[in-house]
Amino acid sequence: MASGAVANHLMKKHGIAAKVGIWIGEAYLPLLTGVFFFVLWEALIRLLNVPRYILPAPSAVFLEFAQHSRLIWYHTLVTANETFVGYAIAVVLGIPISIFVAFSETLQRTFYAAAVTLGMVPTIAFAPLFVVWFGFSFASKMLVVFWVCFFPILINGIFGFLSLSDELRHFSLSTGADRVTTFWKIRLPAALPQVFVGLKGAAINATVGATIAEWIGGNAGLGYYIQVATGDFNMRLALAAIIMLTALGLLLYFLVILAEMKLMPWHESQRERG
Amino acid sequence: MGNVDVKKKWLRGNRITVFYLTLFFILWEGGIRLFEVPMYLLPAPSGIAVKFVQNFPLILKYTWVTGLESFGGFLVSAAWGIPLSLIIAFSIFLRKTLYPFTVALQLVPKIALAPLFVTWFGFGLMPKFIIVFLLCFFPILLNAILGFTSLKKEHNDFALSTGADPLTVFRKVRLPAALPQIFVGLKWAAVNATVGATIGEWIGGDAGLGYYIQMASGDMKMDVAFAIIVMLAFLGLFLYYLVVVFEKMLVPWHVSQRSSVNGMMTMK
Repeated sequence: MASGAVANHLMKKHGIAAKVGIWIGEAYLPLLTGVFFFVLWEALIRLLNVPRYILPAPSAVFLEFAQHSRLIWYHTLVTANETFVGYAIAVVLGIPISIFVAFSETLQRTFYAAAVTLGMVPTIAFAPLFVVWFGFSFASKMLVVFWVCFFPILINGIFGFLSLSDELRHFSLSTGADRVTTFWKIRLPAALPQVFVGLKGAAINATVGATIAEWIGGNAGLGYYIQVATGDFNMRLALAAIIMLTALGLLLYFLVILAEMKLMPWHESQRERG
Repeated sequence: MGNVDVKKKWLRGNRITVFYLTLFFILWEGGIRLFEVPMYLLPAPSGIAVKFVQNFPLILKYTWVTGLESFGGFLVSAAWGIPLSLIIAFSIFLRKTLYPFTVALQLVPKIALAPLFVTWFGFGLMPKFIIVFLLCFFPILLNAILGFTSLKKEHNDFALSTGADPLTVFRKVRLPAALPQIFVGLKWAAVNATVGATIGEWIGGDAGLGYYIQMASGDMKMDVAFAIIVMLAFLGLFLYYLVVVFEKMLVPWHVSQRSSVNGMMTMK
């Protein structure tokens, strides 16, 4: 906390250079841990002569990545397409439905109860059914992504829109604001932090859903590519594809974080970022 | 509001739930019969129930397999995650090095490693245990670290000022304060456990509910697939409520007095 305050002060005073300096000061230990981890990995593989079909060294993975970058990129675009479209549909449907549910007692008693139960159940279990229904096409993967993203968004959305205190609502209405204004100015901003919990959870689920759907019935995409590579005992290629998959997941996650920072700059999670 | 009022409201609410749930199933059944929807598209609830009973011995057998994988992996990750979280929470060095690293690892789709485990360890129980372990380990570890590190400084100082030694302070103050957050992690992991086992069976399995779902849907036997998913749901709920029962035993104080950050629902 204190160091964060000092960092903020320094940042205001010295601008971007200080910002970079502070960031390095905060991040060098974790980065060093990461470097140490990879060096240890490389050294152990070389020292113990681990066969590369069991576990390849990071350098070998990197080389494979460079050699197959065009094919990896092709499969990345396939998975990215499934992930982003499925996620977008889950957001577009999930948030309005969560608002409806939050304002209707009947829907809370029915839809919400069902959604919470489904949320505790392995929703991914439906993936083979989607493949049977929609074939090996883009649609089946996109729908699996939608399916695993929809519930976190819906449940956290309902939770967020319900959690406004009665005092605040009554106060707002007492100032003469109508219900629509109260919603836009009070309830929506108050719900945003919880809504973003769901959006972030769904962002993590999205690439996982796409990968699993490709395993079950796919002929393209990073998940498919990982399975083909491990089937050939080419662990270097599999790990290279996993790195790309991770990067794709992080991209979606950080896009959500970016939206969060734009939409709710006031929230405590955004303050004092050293 | 009196206790009786609360109870009345709850009963009324339950009646609404039961009413609409029944309506939902009647509409589903009626729609399937009316429009003669083929079974391979969407089976009727009655058809699912019949298949559930008909295939019950096999479903039960596979439930044991998937249950063992889920429960075993969950227990191992709890047995490793909670002690490790203690070490990280109390070491400033590890909190600066290992902790950010584990937070970053949380964002890696660990499920993508599943085919590697199958290649390394074959089609037996081992790869499934490892996948379940990986999916359960991080929520348990990260939430436990959060729990152990979020004790208010005032509470800690107050406990020390009464003359209690650090060990007593840990046992009487820090551990009880951390428990609700630890259980957030455990509940989240319980949800992940069946997911991990199912996916592990899809990639390389010859037994278990995940394997059975894939077989049934491959044969276009959607009614059987739905019956298995119902069982899988029960298994997931059973694990979840097992953790909830433990939580009630270990954290007996009232919900409103517990402080914890709700976990997001992810299956990484």
